[in-house]
Amino acid sequence: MKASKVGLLILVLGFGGAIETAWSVRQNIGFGPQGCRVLAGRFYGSSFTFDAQQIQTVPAGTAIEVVNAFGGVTVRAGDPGQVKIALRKVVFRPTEEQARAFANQIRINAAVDGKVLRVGTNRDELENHSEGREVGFETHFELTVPPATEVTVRNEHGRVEVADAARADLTSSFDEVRVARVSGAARIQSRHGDVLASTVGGDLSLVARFGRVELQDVRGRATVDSEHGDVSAARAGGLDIRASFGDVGVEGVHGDVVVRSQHGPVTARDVSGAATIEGSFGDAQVEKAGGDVRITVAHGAIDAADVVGGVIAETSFGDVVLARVGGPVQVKVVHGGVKARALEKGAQISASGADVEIDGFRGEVRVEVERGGVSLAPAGALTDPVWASAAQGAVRLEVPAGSRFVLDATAERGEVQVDVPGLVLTSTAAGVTKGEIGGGGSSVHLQARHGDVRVHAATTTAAKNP
Amino acid sequence: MATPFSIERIVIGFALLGLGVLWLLANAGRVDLLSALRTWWPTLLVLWGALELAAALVRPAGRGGS
Repeated sequence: MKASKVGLLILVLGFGGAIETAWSVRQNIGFGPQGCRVLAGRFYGSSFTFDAQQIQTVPAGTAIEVVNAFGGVTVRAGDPGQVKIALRKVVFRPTEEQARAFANQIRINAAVDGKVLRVGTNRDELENHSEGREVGFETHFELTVPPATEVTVRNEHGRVEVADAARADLTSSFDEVRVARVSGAARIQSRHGDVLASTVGGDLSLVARFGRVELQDVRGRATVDSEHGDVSAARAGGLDIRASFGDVGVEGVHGDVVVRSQHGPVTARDVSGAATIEGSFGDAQVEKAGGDVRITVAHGAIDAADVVGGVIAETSFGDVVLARVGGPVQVKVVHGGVKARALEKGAQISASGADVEIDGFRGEVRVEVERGGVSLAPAGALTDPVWASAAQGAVRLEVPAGSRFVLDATAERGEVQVDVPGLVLTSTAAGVTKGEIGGGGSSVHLQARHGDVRVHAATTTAAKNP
Repeated sequence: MATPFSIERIVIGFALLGLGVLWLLANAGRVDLLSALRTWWPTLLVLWGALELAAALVRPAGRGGS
């Protein structure tokens, strides 16, 4: 490489580095009345804390509404008939005298408006003042309210914590939200912060952006709309989750579960009702479902086990694994295979790109595979119809003792091998074999277009239905 | 006699041209200069690479250098 090229490369990279550095510096350095501040902002430098308290008498049944910004809000149950309001003021000023002078201007605003006690500060008024525009100050509320109070909080840039309330309606951003022991319904909206909700007696409605969501012990139905964060839920009375860009984990649901997820895996365990999962770019797993399971995934694997009802599974670019399914099974896979065990009411399976193996099934089975083989092993004597077709793969069927069916096996560009005691061949031509066992019965049609068909006696049936 | 083809000159030319245009637009209040430079400066590398590739493809076999 010529020296001029090396020189120019250094020049260009140096130019880029200088631009990036200048950009970074501009983002993090500010100039104001306090001089130059690295990590610019009003909430920087020395700060001093001052406390204020107020007790407000309220009639029974009065709801509480707290509006705050740049500070936390904590609401807990206390004595009936009164609301204790504690305000912690944190003022960012160079000296304590300056901070105290400003803190003295920060007031608690509390007034009963009908059946609602509205609590806040005079932040808006201060921030419209010339000095207030430049001074950073935090206002942290701690409220003790009568038992069974309905609580509403509108907060920004601060942690919100509510416990032992009748109802909760919370909006928060840029910090964590915690809700515990709410006897009625709860509604939460959060941005840029985690949400933890536990022991909610009614329904829960939750909207979260850019934060983790964790739910526990929600007696009613929980509706969650989450983006850019993981969602985990345990012990809820029904769940409806819409999530994107995060993992979803559900456990112990007394009711139905509906999950619509994008760009994240979904796991559901111990669901008493039906489970419906629609996902993309993530695997879906259901374990122990009391109702039907329907899973539709794009670009992900499916795993369902111990399902009392039926299973409908559709996916692409991933395998389907099923175990111990009590109801009928329908599977459609593109670019993936199927492995199934203990299917009690038959299956209809369409797959491409990999093998289909069913080990231990009862009921009618219909399997169609492109670019893969089929392996079928009934759980007991085979008496129900079987239709299996494989292109570019072999078809293999185990025949347990006591089976009764009529065999029609075709192998194009392959051979049919039959090794079952008691199976009487009625017709054998090139690639086509027909016969019957146990006096005949349902039709067993096996077809391999570019492979062999193998029909042989089952070695043991004890292990087919674990 | 014609000046030999030089990729470095083309890159420097485009860089000066782009910088001048951005500066003009910034002075006219149409763009934030620093933000625009931060976004678009890697195009210099892209342009340079593309020119090197083009030169390598059209260069007769057996001849090296640029």
